[in-house]
Amino acid sequence: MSKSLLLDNRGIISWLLSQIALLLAAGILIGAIAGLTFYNDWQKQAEAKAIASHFASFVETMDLKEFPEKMTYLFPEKSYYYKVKISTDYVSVTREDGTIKNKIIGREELLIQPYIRPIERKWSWNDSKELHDFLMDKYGHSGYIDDPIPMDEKSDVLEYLKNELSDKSKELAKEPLIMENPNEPLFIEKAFIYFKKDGGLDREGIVIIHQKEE
Amino acid sequence: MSFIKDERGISEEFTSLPALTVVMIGFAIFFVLIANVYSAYNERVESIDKHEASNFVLEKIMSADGYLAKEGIVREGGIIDASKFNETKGDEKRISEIIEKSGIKGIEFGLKLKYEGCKEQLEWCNIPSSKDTAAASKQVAVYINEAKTVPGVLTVLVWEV
Repeated sequence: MSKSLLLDNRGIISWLLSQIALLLAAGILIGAIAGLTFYNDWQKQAEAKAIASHFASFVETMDLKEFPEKMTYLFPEKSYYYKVKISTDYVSVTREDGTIKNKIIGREELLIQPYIRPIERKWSWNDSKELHDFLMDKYGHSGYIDDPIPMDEKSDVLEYLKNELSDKSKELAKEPLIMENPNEPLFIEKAFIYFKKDGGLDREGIVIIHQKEE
Repeated sequence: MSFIKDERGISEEFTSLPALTVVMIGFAIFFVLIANVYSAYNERVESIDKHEASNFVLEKIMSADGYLAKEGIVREGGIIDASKFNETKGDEKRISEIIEKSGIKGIEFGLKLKYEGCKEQLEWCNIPSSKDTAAASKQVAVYINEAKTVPGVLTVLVWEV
């Protein structure tokens, strides 16, 4: 075989073999590069992670506020469908247009634990106003700056808030707050509960995420 | 130059093979570059995330409602009490209590304080030497005694649990 190839004056077989090898090698390489750059899901994953990260930063910034404040958050409008799930510890953005695997998830851990109140669940309070009304019913003082709760009830209030956070965080871990429509606003509030102490006021700040429009 | 006149067509192999090699090397370099862009992007995002986290921790613990203020380490006006900081730095139990009650989840942090006139930097004993940490610093005023408050730098180091 090899002898007949060497004796082949036209050289067509060897030419053909090398051209086929060249085509195959180039095809595989170009395919791999195109796959990595254009069809891989890492860009989509990075975009999902950026949405989650932006929201997490927003919540953390709200936690640093020194005065009561309420801000509206709108998720960015995109050409594709995505779903945001918010629980006490995580925010995750899921999109379903992946090439390699169907679901792409970008996840960000929250550095603080906010009180999340999905609108469809009828919990005892759903925003800061309702929280102060709730405290009024329970302790006889709303906890606003002009109606502080006595200091000896502070540990009770803090214990209640701690239990409320831990109960609801378990529930939200199973069924998180889901945002599917970017036009639907989410409200993030920094609220303070004031306590009356000798010669001044003490306060405890919390972050509430809710969907209740006033 | 005898191979030019070679009509057997064998020499053609020896010209196309180097060309093929050059093309292959070119593609391989391109491939490596693209893969590097991906890993560099990931690394960059991670380091920005960590830096943001350390900055957040610094702002949160230094705030008027922060746990350091409740412990008296941060005095009114954001001034650090050097003697209280010194008392805390070696007390592992107290440090873990501060971290737990600071309201920050998922990461741990340690503090370092340097101020004018101090011989060596004061640092919390929980700071690990082997973990990947990110830091953020802030210029602060440090209370030494009734008569003396000096400028200093407070650094927060954060790492994942």
